[in-house]
Amino acid sequence: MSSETIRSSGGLLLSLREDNNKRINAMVGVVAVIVLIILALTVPNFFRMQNIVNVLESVSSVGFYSLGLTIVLVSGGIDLSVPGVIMAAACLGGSYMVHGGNWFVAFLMMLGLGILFGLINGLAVAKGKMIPFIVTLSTLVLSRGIAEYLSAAQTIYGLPDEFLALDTKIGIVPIGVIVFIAVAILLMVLLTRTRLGRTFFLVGENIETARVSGIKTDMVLFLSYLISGFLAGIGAVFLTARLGSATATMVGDTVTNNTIASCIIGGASLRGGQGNIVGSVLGLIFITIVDNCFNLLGIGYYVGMVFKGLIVALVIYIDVLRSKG
Amino acid sequence: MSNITKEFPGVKALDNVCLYAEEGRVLGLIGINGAGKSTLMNVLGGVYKPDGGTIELDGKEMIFHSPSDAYNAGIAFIHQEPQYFLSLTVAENIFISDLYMKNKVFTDKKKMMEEAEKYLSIIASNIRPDQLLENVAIGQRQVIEIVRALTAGANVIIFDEPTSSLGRQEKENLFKTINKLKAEGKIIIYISHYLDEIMEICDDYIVLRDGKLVNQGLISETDKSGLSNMIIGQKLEHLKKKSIDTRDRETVLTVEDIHYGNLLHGVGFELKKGEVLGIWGLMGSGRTEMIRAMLGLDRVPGGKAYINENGNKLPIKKNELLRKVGYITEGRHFDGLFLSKPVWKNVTSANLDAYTSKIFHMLNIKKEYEDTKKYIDLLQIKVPNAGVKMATLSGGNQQKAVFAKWICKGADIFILDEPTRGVDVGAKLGIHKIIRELASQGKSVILITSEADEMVDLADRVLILRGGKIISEQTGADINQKNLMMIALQGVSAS
Amino acid sequence: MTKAMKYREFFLSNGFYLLCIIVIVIFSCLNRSFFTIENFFSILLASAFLCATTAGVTPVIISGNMDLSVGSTALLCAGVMYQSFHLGMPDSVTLLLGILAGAVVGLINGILVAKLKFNSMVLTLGLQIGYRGLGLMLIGGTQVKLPEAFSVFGKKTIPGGLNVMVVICLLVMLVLHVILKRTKFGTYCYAIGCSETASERVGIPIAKVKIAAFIISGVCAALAGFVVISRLGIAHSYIGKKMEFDAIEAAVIGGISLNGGRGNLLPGALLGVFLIYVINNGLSIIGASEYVYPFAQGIIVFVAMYLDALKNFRNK
Repeated sequence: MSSETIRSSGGLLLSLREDNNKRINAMVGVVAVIVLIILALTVPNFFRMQNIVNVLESVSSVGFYSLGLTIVLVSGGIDLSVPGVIMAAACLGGSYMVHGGNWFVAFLMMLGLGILFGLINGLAVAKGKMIPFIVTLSTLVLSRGIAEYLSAAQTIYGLPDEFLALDTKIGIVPIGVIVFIAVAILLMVLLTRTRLGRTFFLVGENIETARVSGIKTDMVLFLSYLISGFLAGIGAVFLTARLGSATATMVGDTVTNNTIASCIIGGASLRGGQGNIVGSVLGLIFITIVDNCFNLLGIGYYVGMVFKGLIVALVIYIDVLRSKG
Repeated sequence: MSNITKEFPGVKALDNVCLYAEEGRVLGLIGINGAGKSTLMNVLGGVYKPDGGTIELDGKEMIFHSPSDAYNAGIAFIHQEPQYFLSLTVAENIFISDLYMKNKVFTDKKKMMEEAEKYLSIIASNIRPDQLLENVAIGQRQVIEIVRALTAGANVIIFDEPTSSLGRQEKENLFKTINKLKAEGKIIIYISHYLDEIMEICDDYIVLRDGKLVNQGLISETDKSGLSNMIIGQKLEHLKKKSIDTRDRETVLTVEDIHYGNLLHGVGFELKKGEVLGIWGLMGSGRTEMIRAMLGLDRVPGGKAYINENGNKLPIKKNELLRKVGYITEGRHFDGLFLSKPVWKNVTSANLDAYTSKIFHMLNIKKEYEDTKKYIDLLQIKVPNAGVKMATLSGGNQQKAVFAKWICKGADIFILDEPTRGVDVGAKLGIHKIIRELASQGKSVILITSEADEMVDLADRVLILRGGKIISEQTGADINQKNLMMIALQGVSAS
Repeated sequence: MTKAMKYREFFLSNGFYLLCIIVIVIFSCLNRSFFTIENFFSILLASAFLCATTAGVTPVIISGNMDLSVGSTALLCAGVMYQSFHLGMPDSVTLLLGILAGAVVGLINGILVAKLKFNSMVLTLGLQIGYRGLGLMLIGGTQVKLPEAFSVFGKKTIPGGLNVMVVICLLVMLVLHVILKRTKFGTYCYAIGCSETASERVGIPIAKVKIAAFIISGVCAALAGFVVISRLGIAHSYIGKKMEFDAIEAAVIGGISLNGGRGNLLPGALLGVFLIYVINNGLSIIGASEYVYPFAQGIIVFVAMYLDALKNFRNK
C-alpha cells in the first residue's frame, strides 16, 4: 500500500516532468532564436554569403561527431574519443597517400581506423562493463598518440588531387556538406524508423527493462559505439580533404565541448533515451554560428575559450533542469 | 501510540490503532503482509506523518517530522534493508553517523574498534571490527544496524524481520542480545512472520489485520495456532470457485536444482500446459529470487531448465528461456516499463521482430500503433490514445500495458510476480480476468502473489516455499487461505 | 573456494604489483642505466607534480565524482602566479594567490556538482576549456620566461640530493592519505562513494563533503602548477595538458575505483604515478620513439580499468 503511493506519485512526477521538459525545450528554442536575431542585428557581415558557407562547411566537417554522439547519447553512453580518432584516421590516410599510396585505399583505411576505435570502445563498454566516459577518454588519448606518432607532430602536406577532389563544390555547396546531409537523413531514418534505432532508445531509457524484454542490450550498446567510430572515419575523410592536410592538432580542443553542447541543445540527455538528429544538427548550427560570431567580432581565441566553457556549463544545466522537472 | 490513523490515496492503511509498549518487555507485532505493520512502525520511526493520533514517549507527546527526529528521541529502527557501506570497516559502519574523535581533526579508530568489539562480542563474535564490511557474509551485515542502535543508546528499538538473513547461531545470539536489552529496561518492538520466534522472544503481542488492531495480550496466554487464527481472521472463507486438476497435463517447463545464496537450496518444479501455478511463501522466502535465477537475470551457480517441444524434453539455456517467457516483474518502474516512451512503444518492445521488415530492418510503425490499439481494447486499458507517455497512466493501466507487451510477444509461458500490487480494485479484477483468459487459451502461468485471496481465486496448483525449499504442493479445495497461511507460517497444513 | 577462483582473486588484488615488477625487470634487463639511484631520482622529479594532482583528485573520485579540470586549473594558477609575480608581489603572496585561485576553481566545481546536481564528468570537461582560456589570457603567450627567482626554489634540494619539490609533493600525498583514512571527512568520502542514499540516511553532510573534495582537488592542482613552472622556469600554454587524464590513470592503476568508494592513496596511487613515469622513463632510456608512449599508457590504463570493472562486478 505504501509502495503504491510512492509508485503512483513517482509516475505523476514523471508525467509532470514530461510537460515541463516540453516547456524547457520550447524555451531553449526561443532563446536560441533570440540570440541568433541579436547576433544578426549586431554582428557586422553576418549575412555575407561566404560567411554562411563557412558555417555550413565547419558544421559538416566536425558535424559527423555530433551525429555519432547523438546515437551514443540516445543509447545512454558518451563518446569523447571522436576528435582523437578523426586525427588518427586523417594522419593514417594522409601519411599513406604522401608515401604514394592509392587515395581510395587510404579512404578505406581511414574508415577502417574509425571502425576499429568504435570496436574497442564498444567492446570495453558493452562486454567489459567499463565506464563509457573513462573508456572513451582513454581512447581519445590513445588515438591522439597515434596521430602524433604517424605525423611525427608535423603537418602532412601534398595529398593527391584525386583525394582533394572530395572537397569540390557542386554549385556553391561542397560535397562534404552534401554527404553530411545525406548521412544525417540516413541516421534520422535509422533512429526513428528501424528496429535498431528503436532499441537504442529503449536501452538508453531503461537497460533493465530492455534486458527483461529480451533485447540484446550488449549488442545494442556495442553498435552505438561502432556507428560513432565509423562516422569519425567519414568525418576524417572530409575534414582532411577540406583542409588539404593532416596534423595531430587539426581538431581543436573546443570541439568536444561544442558537440556535447549542440546535442543537448537539440534534445539529447546525458542520462540516455532522449535525442534526435534534427535537433542535434540545429544545435550544431546554432553553436557554430555563435562561434563564428566570436571571430567576426574579433574576440580573441582565449576569451572565446572562456565563453565556451561557460556556454557548456549553461547548456548542461538545461539537462539538469530537464531531469528535475 | 494512540489512535493512529494513516491514509494513503484509496486505502486506509491504519485505522485508529493504539499501541502500548512497556519498558523491559518485548512486544511482538504480527500480521500478514499489508496488514499495516510497516506503516505503523514507519509512523513511529518518523518516516510517515500520521493523519490522526498521537505518539507519547515517557509521558511526553512527540511529533516527528523526519526519521532523524525519531532517532534523536531514542527510537531506533532496524531495517530489513540495512544502510551500510561496503568498503568501510565494520567499526566505521557502526559509528558512521557519530564518529569518535581523538581531537578536532582525527578520528579515534582505536576507541571505535574497542567499542564495536564490546557489542560485537555479544551478538556476532565472529565479526571483527577492523574487517571491511564487504568481507562480512551478506547474512551477517544486518548486525551492523543492531549494534548501531545499541551504541546510539536508543530506548526504543524496533526490529523489522531481523532474522530473515540470519543463520541459526546468529539468531540465537540475536535473541540473547534482545534479552539483554530487555534486562536493561529498553522498549523492544519485534516484527516477524515467524511465530516460533514470536513465541520464543516476545512477552506481549499485538495483531494487526487490514490496518486495524484485532487482538492483543500476553504471549504466555496463547499458542502458535491461536496466533495463526488471529492473524488469518475468522472472516468468511473465500472458497475456490472452480478447480481444475492440471497434474496430469502435458509438462511445458521443467526447472531443477535452483540455488540462491542463503535463500534457496535446490528448488525445482514442473509447469503444466494451461495451468496457473501459484508460488506461495512469506516475504523473503525467495520467490522472486527463484524466478530471477531461473531466467539468468541474477547470476547464481547451478539450476537447469528444460522446455517441452513436440513431446521432447529439451534443455534450454537461462537467457534463451528469458526470451521465451513473458515476465511481469515485481518492480514495474525498475524493469517493466519505459516510462517516458509512449504506450505503443512499450507494448511492442518485446516483439520488435514481428514489426521488422526483412530488408533494411524497417519498423512498421503504423502496424505497431494499430496492434497496440487492439490490445488496449482487449485488455481495457484506459488511455486517451496509444501515443500518450507511459508515465501518465495509472498503476493498474501501466500493469495492463505490461501484460499487453507479453501478449503481443505471443509468449506461451507467463511469469507474474505480484501482478496486482499497487493497482486499484477495478484494474485488479481486470487483471484477474486476463490471467484466467490466458490459462484457458492454453498458456501456462506462474503466479507469485502475497495476497491469499488472489492465490485462492487464480491458482490451479500451489507450491509453498519455506526455508529455501518447496515443502508442499496444494491443489483443488486445499487451496484456501487458512491452509496457505498455516503452511507458510508453521510448516504444517491446517487439516 | 575453487583453485581457479583463488587465482582470480589473487590477480585481481595483486595484478598491479606484478605488473610493476615485470615492467621494472624488463627495463632493467634492457638497459643498465635504468636501475640506478640517479635514474630513480629523475623519475621522482619528473613525477612530482603528478603526485600532487593524483592526491588531489582522489578524494573527488572516492566520493563518487570526477574532476577533469585539474590540468586547466594548474595552468590557470600558473597564470595567476605569473601575473602576481609581474606585479611585484612577494613570493609568499604569489604562492598564496595561486593556491587561492585553485581553491576558488574547486569551490565553483564543487558547488555546481553538489548543490546544482551537475554531472561532474561532463561539467568539469566543459569548464576546463574555460579555465584554460583564462589561464592563457593571464600568461598571454604560448611561452613566457619567468623571472630567475622563480626557478631558484625549484632547484633547491634537501640533504641527500632529493629535490624539495619532490619532498613537498610526496608530503601532499602522505597528508591526503592520512586525511582520507583518519578524519571524519575522509571516512565520509568513502561512505558517499559507497552509497549516497545510505549516506543521506545516516546524516552525512553530503554537499559539504563533495565541495571540500573539489576544493582539495583545486588546491593540489594549483600546487602542481607551481611545481611545473618553478621547475621549468617558464610558463607555457602546454602546462597541464593531459594532466587530468594522467591523474585519473594513476588513480585507477593504483586500484582506486572509478565508481567511487574504494581504493587507497598509499601505496596504490603512488605506485600508479611511478608506474606511468617508470614506463615513460624506461622507454626513453632504451631509445624507443617518444610516440610509442601513448600506446603503452593506453594499454595499461585499459587493463587497469578492466580489473576495476571486474572487481565491481564481483562486489555486486
